[in-house]
Amino acid sequence: MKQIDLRVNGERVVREVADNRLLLDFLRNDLGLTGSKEGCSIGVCGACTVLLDGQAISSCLALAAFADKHEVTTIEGLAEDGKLDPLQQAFIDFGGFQCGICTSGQIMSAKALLDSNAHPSEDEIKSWMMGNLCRCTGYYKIIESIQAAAEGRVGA
Amino acid sequence: MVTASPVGHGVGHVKGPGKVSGRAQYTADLTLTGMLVGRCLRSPFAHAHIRSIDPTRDIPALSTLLLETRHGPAPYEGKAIGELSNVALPAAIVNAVYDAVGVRFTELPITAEKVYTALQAREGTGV
Repeated sequence: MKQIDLRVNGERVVREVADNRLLLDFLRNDLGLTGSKEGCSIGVCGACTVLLDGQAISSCLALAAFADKHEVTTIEGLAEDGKLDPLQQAFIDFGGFQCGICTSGQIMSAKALLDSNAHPSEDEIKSWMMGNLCRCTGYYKIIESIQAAAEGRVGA
Repeated sequence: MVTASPVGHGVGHVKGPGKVSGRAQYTADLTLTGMLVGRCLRSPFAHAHIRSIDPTRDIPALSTLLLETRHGPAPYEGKAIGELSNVALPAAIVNAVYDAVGVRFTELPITAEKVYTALQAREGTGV
């Protein structure tokens, strides 16, 4: 067991975790943040994407202990004061999801993209989002949502 | 080519806010009292063959779960399901037994005695 002291969605969290506790299981089962999903469990599908100090990572491949003394942001932490992040609003406005299982990961990856590149080209979006699989939308709506968020065309 | 279908009044995706904020609850997110949990196990070895199955460990006792919705056409709003709920599972087990021991059964139940007899017959040693 190891005691970890980190910030999750802006709030300090101090917990005892098993050495082999996955970050994803820690978030979902220990903290009840079930927005992050487990899809493939091997870092391929992107459904478990969260931000670690602003970097997009697959939480199914990271240990909870790895996040000790770091800042984790999950999909639950994006909205501020009850107002959705422009990316979240764009996914609604432009139909960037259907079943929604991959959506948390899609949005968190896109968040990391726009934080580092506020106006990505379509090719840059496609390249960046390659690690987030979706079996419903056909991807066009996801790309469109990210473009709309980047261009401020949301909440119309 | 263009296809067009009347949709009436276009409404927003009512499930949208829940799905983009992580609040939407999927079955994997739910924990209920007395909940049964199933888990898919996959071989870590590509194209591996199942050599044997210990049914006491790999196939736990099967449970029947009645989820009442009360929208059926029968009296008391019930609905007959016949053998539908029994179709998939025995077939899967029959295939698993075939994979494990090489003998295929076409009748249920697959008792230990039947398996033994079939294996003896296949080996040509008699019972």
